[in-house]
Amino acid sequence: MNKYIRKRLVQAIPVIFGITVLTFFIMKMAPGGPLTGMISPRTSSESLQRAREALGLNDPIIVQYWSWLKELVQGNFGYSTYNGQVILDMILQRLPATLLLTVTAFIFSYIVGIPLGVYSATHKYSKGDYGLTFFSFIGISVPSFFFGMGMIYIFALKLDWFPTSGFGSSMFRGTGMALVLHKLRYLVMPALVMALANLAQVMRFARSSMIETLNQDYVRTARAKGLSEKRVIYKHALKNSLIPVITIFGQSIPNLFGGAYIIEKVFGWPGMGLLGVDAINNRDYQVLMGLTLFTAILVLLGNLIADIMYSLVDPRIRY
Amino acid sequence: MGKRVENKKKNIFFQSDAWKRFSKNKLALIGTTVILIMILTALFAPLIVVNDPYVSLKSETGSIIKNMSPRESGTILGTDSVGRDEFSRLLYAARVSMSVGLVAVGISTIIGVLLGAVSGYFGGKIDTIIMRCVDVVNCFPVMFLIIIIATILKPSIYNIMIIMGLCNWTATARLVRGEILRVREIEYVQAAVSLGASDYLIIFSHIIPNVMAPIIVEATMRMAYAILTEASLSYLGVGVQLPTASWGNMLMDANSIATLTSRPWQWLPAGSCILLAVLSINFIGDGLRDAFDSKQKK
Repeated sequence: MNKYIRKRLVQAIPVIFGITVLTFFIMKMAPGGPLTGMISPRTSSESLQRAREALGLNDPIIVQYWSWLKELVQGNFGYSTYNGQVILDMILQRLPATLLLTVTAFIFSYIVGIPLGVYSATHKYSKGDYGLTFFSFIGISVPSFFFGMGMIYIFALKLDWFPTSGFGSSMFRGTGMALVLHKLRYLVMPALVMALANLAQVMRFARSSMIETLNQDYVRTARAKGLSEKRVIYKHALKNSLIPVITIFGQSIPNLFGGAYIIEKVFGWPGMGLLGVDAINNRDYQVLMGLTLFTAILVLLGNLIADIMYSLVDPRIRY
Repeated sequence: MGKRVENKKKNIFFQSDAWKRFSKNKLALIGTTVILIMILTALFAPLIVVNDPYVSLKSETGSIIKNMSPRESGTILGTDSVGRDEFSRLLYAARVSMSVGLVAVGISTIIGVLLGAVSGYFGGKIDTIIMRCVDVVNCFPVMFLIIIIATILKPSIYNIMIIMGLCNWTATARLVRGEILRVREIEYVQAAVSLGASDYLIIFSHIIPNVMAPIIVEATMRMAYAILTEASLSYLGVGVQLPTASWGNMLMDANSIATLTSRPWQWLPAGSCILLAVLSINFIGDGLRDAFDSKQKK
């Protein structure tokens, strides 16, 4: 536990505070309130007033924030304005599907992106490098829903390799390995679409990082010693060039989650994104807010972990 | 006097190394050409299109010709699910999508430059507070933040512009802060300080002009991102609202399998336009970065 990690943890405290303040005030802008889902046309204004008083909705805003925060710390994200369900339960129920999708996309983009980036760097300005660079530009430029539609059109409708949408068919009766394979077929396309933009970014970053490392003195020394090019690249340069790639690990978490709305809608993937899309259609602000707050906290944790990893891997980092 | 200096500057730009480097970059030139063509067709859309983009077309017998292919309907790109001319909508959508991107990036660049400049120049407590605010905003997936605010406020073109502007300034703020920290210690700024120039004067007439290049590159890249975001929002139904056409909401219909398979003219052109515009702007941004960065050697 070094000084950097301690400082980084202390730094996170005001950020958590800021996240809750921002979320709270955005929520206050929303029309209606936590009671909207429970009011029927027959609710009298008196009982409504009593409920507002009981929930503290007439208190000063600071007091309201404080009691909201106390509830939040205990894991109470509030209730859906649409159907009165507990928001945290709704989110936790959808979380595994989204995590499966994002983590798969994540791993895929690193496993493919880093070797491609290294290849690009070691073959700088070759045809392969230009091709890969062009591909990475397409990757960051294509709208994910358009790419998703194209994939569905080609691989699901024309070639019939993968199912168009959803996560497993209710008609399927297999168990064990067969069930896993059945579910995997549903995972391939959305995970690929989600990975594309991230893959392009990882690749570009790995390329520039590798090029920079290859210009370092110790690489020149290694070459001067007469080591083979392979040994120089894979033994001396690669490890050091991968360190900065960890930083985009932290940055790409919000992007991946942000993409979930679109990709889960296109592929009917039953995760948090689809929950959000339904919430948009139902004008269910409480659920949207809960989702936003929940992902913000996930992102904060992800960033913390990335920074701590970075400081552990690279002892040169001092705060 | 002022005028003469300006003229001189203009000439210098086209003879400058930056322009030479930019004009050698083929992809950046292609990108510029594509974007110019898109801007021109969008500007002159009313003169180009034959059919009104908001009116359903009717056949000779008086029935609305919806979901018609180009050949059947006699239009360039066919008609959409309520019989409007897809080509007309595509051109009018270009106006909406590009202006939303431009205004949103304008707003976020102004916010980012101001906060970044204040943060980097004054340092201390203000710097800490602003940078923590950046951290807070960065924790939210921008899409989530924009979606929730757009859902709460009425989604309209102007709201989308403002919301996207308010949510996307953090990268610029960080960039400008870093540049200012770097430039602040250079002699010419120190000279201005010792001559008693005001903070305002130093920031805006000595520092900002010298960190303009990275700001422009960043803004260009964010323009591409803004067009993508607007398209995604409109596709989800929280962006530009029908009947106003935007490239994103033209793809809303394509969520059905029937449209995907049998009516490609309803989703391929709009999707390709987004891809082409975003790709071109990214090429331009990349070209600008290489052009401004004199240290980089090819």
